[in-house]
Amino acid sequence: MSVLSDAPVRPVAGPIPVKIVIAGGFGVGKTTFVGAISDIAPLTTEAAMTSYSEGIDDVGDVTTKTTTTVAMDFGRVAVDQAIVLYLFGTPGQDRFGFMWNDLIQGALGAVVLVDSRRIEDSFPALDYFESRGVPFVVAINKFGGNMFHSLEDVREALSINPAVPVITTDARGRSAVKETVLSLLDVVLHRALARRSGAE
Amino acid sequence: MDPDVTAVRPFLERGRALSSPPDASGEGHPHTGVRAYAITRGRAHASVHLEFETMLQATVVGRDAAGAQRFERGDIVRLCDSEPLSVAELSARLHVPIGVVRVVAADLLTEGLLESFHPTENVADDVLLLTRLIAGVRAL
Repeated sequence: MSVLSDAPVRPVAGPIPVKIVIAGGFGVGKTTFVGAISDIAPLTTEAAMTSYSEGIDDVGDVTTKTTTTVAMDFGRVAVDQAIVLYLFGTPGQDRFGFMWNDLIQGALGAVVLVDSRRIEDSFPALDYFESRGVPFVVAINKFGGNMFHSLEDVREALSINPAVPVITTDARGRSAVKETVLSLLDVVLHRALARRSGAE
Repeated sequence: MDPDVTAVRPFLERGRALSSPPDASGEGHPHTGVRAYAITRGRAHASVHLEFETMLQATVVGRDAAGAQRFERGDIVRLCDSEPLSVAELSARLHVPIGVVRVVAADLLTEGLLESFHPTENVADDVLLLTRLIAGVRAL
């Protein structure tokens, strides 16, 4: 992108934005999770997301393009002098699960928050990230210390790849949220290192 | 959902309402989409692609010209005058959909009133950046 030729040359490099996605069922604590680590109170934005459905409505055997406006909460963390980490919560409703492409574009990975009493609420997110090869960790939100199932039971119920970390977190606690984000970044880094050594 | 939602493409919203189940989320939203569409001068696609997290800052030229910009053009330049803000933050703070910010900001970029800081390409393979990011988060 060229700017006007008389625009001043910046003496220092600008900010480097990076993004992760916080997914999970409605009411699982995504916005709380974002707010626990964000420098700013979580903001809400609206985006139009497009989906395609085939032959399921009255107009017959045609592909229908549907645009829905969905709300997303997000936060921002200044990680160092340049890196700015954005955390985007996915829209909570299941039926938006197939509209996340725009949101996930360029994201490092995802945290899938799980309420162990409503494990099935996380299935759309797991399906989505698995099918697209997006790195993710599963974090069971303890809601103030209460765990209703063991980690192994949850892992089995979710039937996810053994390589995917399943951890507990507390969406209200800054250090727990930090550890959860770090476990995701660890997965991302290991993938990057594996690809690099594979390329050599 | 926030009742203050602004539809980006009102004709699509109406089309959906006709063919979708009644629980579709657009229900009850004021259709202020005409205005959103007017802001973007009728275009739904931007000349430059901006991600949700792409950050924007006013250039010196933009700062000088901010007062002469109308509506969202001026708001965007003024908001990201003192510090770079992401497309998503501009959208949230101006209460307009991300798609509108994308289109308007792309124009401002092309005209040299804003500069952009894009996410790193292939960031998932950037071991140096990832290492820095991890160290930074650990130190928070």
